[in-house]
Amino acid sequence: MKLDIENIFVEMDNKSIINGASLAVKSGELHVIMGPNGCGKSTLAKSVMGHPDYRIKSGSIKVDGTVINSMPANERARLGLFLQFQEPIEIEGLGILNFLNAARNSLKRDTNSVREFMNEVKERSAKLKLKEELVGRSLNAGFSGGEKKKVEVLQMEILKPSIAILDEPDSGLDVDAVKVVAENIKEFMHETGAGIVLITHYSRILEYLEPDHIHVMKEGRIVKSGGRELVKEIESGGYGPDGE
Amino acid sequence: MISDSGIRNSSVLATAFSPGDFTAAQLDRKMTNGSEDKISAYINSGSRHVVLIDVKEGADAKINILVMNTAHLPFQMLVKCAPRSRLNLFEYYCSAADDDYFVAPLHELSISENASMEFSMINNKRNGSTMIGFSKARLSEGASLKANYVYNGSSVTKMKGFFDAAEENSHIEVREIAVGSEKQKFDLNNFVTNSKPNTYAKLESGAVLDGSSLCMLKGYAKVEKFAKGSTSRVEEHGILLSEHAHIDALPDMAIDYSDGVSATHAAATAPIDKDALFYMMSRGIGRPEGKKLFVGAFMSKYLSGISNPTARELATSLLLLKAESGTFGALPEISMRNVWAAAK
Repeated sequence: MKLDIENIFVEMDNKSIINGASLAVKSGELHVIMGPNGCGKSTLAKSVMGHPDYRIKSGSIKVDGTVINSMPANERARLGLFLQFQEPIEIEGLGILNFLNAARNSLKRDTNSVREFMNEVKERSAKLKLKEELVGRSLNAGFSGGEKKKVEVLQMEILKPSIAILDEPDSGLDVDAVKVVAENIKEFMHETGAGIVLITHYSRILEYLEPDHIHVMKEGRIVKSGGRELVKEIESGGYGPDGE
Repeated sequence: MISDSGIRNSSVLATAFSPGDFTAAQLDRKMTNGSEDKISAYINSGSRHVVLIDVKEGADAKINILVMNTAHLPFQMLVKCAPRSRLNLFEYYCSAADDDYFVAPLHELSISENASMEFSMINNKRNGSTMIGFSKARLSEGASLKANYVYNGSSVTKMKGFFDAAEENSHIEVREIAVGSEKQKFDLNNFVTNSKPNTYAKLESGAVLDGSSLCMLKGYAKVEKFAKGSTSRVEEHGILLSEHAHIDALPDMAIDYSDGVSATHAAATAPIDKDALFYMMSRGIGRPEGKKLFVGAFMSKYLSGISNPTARELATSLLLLKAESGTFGALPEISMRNVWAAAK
């Protein structure tokens, strides 16, 4: 699968947020986007997934050559896209298992029986070091920040997208949890051949991963792309005069 | 009319008669006389049927009642739980064909020392019908009451309830949910009172409205003088599925004693959270299915407390059907097993 973001301009409430961003991601690749707060990283992620608050003024988002600019989020998910939310939604009363089962039934991506699905959830939860009782509870209701992030990764692993955008999977995690999450992402990529776009502020998670491309985003655009050397550059010099 | 045998045991005495046959003792146990409220006055004066349920001391009883009236039906249900008894009472109100009659139940629940009662009622009467009801409950020391009201049917529903944690260490939880479509109207008015020390009284009201339906949620809590160490809660929440639907959530509270009292009230109504819907859609779930999941999650808060499996499953399926298609009032297939009484 190939995701092409081509020179998109995105606005919300008549305010421009993304100003000509471009990015090309293939299955199997790991892209990392870094950038100062407010530069448009999360907006880019939500725009790719089709959040109704964000309007694409120009440019295009393509999946395998098909423009998906006006496609609803659930159809984008069926194409193989996935978004891990920076701030996952809490829904009291909706059990995680019910939610995941409804999602996998909608996606029709696997033919696992319910028993096999349950076993997979149990196995992957253990690898994520998620407490077993947690997946029996309401979706993210009363979870810690770290637990929410792990449940997001669990959803990705169960739903098996072709390209996943992970919006700060490491924020709010302690050092051990960062390692666990990173190892799960790496294993998931290895198992499924999925592509990942990882948005982060910290280099720690990258110690456990092997990114193919690092991108720096500023003022709604990708302003620089390169390899690991960019991370060192950012760590030593920040994002430049307007960065943080 | 008592019509079945599910109650044939030594733990419960159930009788049905007309108010004119009240004995002096039965008259003496009446908690309402009509002077306190117009609805109560109407039912007390107009009812021709009374069902009297007495649960004996230490007994454990479960009663399911089907109410399917073929004429206007004001009636009284007088329940008395003796000390240390347990009662699970479920009433299901539904319609036969072409029913535009009203049903007007009056419930008097007297729960003695250390007795516990769970009362659940579902209204699924067809469009065109009306439900007017009045409930009054009084709890003795150490007694508990869980009351679950599910309003799904009828064009107009107007209910009033007074729940009194009247003696020390008594515990009241009232949950009610109205799910409306088309032009349904609900007026739900409940009062919970902490009358004595160390009592607990909680009222949770919810509404999910579609079409141009309306709902008034008026919950009132009072903590009486000397009710030290008591807890009082009033919460009202609603989801609007249509821009033409309307919810008025009006929680209110009066506290006459403040030392050691915990009292809160809250209200919130809103359309379905668009971020929650986007979250579900980002996982491949379509918009209609996402709305259904969200509404189901909201409803579960009000239904999860129903321990009677027949009542819980029936309520869940009726409300989900309503949220999905707006339809209500159809007579579901009900096993008559364990359904005890029918009022005509």
